[in-house]
Amino acid sequence: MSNQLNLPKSLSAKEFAEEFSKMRKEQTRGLEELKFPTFPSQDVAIEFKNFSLSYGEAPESLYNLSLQIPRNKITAIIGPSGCGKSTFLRSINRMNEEISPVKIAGELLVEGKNVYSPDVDVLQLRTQVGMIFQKPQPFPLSIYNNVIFGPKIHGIKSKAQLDEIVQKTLKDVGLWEEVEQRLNDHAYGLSGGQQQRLCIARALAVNPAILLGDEPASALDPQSTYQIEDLFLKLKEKYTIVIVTHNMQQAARISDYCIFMYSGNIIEYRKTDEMFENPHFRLTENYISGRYG
Amino acid sequence: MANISRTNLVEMLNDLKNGMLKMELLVEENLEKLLDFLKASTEEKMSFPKSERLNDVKTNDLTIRSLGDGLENKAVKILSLQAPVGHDLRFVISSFRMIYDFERVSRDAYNAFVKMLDVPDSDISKLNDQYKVFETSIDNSKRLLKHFVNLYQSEENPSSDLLKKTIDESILLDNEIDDLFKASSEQVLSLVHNQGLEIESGYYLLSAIRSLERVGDHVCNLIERALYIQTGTKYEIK
Ligand SMILES: Nc1ncnc2c1ncn2[C@@H]1O[C@H](COP(=O)(O)OP(=O)(O)OP(=O)(O)O)[C@@H](O)[C@H]1O
Ligand SMILES: [Mg+2]
Repeated sequence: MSNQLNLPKSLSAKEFAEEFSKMRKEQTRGLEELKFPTFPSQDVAIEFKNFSLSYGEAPESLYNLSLQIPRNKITAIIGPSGCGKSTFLRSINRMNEEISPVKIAGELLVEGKNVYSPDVDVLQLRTQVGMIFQKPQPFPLSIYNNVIFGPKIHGIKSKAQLDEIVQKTLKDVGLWEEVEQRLNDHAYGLSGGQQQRLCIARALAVNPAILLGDEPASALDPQSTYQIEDLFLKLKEKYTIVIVTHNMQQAARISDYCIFMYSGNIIEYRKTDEMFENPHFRLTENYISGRYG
Repeated sequence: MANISRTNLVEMLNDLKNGMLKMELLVEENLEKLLDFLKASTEEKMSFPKSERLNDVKTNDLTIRSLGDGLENKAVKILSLQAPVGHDLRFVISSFRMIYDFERVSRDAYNAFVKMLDVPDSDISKLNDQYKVFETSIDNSKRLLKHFVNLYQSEENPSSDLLKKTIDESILLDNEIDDLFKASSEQVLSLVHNQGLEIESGYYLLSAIRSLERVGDHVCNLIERALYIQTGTKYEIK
């Protein structure tokens, strides 16, 4: 089919960027050039400026990304396995370097500040940017202690204050009524969906501005998945949310903007409804319609 | 990456597309019959044979309706089971409107047919080139239908040449139908006033003309839908 992109399999992100720029025109289905969305500076929560990242001595896993992510919106990141979605997400709170040594080029601004500048306090950054993972990972503690884990590290000691945080965040994630009577039970006694909401509460307890989710609902049953989706839709009023998902319909259901990544590059980034009705690039269309195997 | 997956979706889409094209063929056939009928009448200046043609047209019209119902079900199935996006999505959602437009083209053509048959034989001789005008109008609609089929069947992302040609020619054809509609309505009125055409006959003819104009409108809708499916952009040609 003419819609396919015939590239050799193992292109690095940089090589792919070069190849893709050559076939851009043909890939655009003859449409006008598409620009990534931009926002007034006060609405920008995260900004990548010519940002590249490589693990160790390997070629770049993210190549020369420049884009703005808006405040109080849900932005979904989609793309085939290995395209760099998790790496992209972990760049924002500098989690990549926890896993292996990384090399960085360019800048990545969170709330206007380059998080890779030498004076950045990484722990502070991770307070500001919370992360939720695919598998709910509560600490082996009680429900109560899971929530206050972060606040305690930040030096909050007053029982009344901690109680208040627990109640408030559990209410925010819609878990309060379900667990009010058993706050001291072990967190592992909760269902998967409840555990995931507890993890979100734990992230919220330290007052972040941004929430990252790496396939946060993919290990959950449909009912819990919808609960988490509803929760994100509610939370975006207060937080900027960026999630990675392999579920196209989930991206369509909850995100305002959608980023399609491929081989360490961002191919298409635009309003979600536009992307799903009229994808700009064939590559995007093939991916979101599941037309390649 | 090279191999295509979702064969089930692809099959369902093809099935729907074939059904839509079948519908188009039946509609085209009805226009064809109407045209033959008009040609025979003008050449021979004869009274309209209350022929089996009417039955044929009616049969086609009924087939189109039931076909439309079946296709609507197919489109609903694709939406509910396959969550199509992009071109697939545009194709499926457009099918609903297109089914309606096909049904209207067929029904309006049939109505025009019926109204013409209502004109009493005694009045036929008073008509000048009215039927020629009708012929041109139907012929234009047929040509519009051809543009539709070309575009609908083309690979996705038609060349800008094909787009431009389709849009430009469709606008011309549709405008011509509108002009014919106005001119022949006036002619019929003048026949009633000056040539002693029965008022009833005038009414039948005006209704037929109106129906034929609508045929053109609905085919234009089909073209607009095909443009949207293939490009994602909403064009207006009327
Ligand atoms: N810790 C690491 N060390 C070295 N290379 C890594 C590391 N993590 C990821 N990579 C590489 O970076 C690229 C992007 O990986 P990443 O995990 O970000 O992809 P992904 O889009 O999240 O994939 P998936 O959908 O499978 O989760 C891959 O080529 C991967 O092999
Ligand atoms: Mg990942």
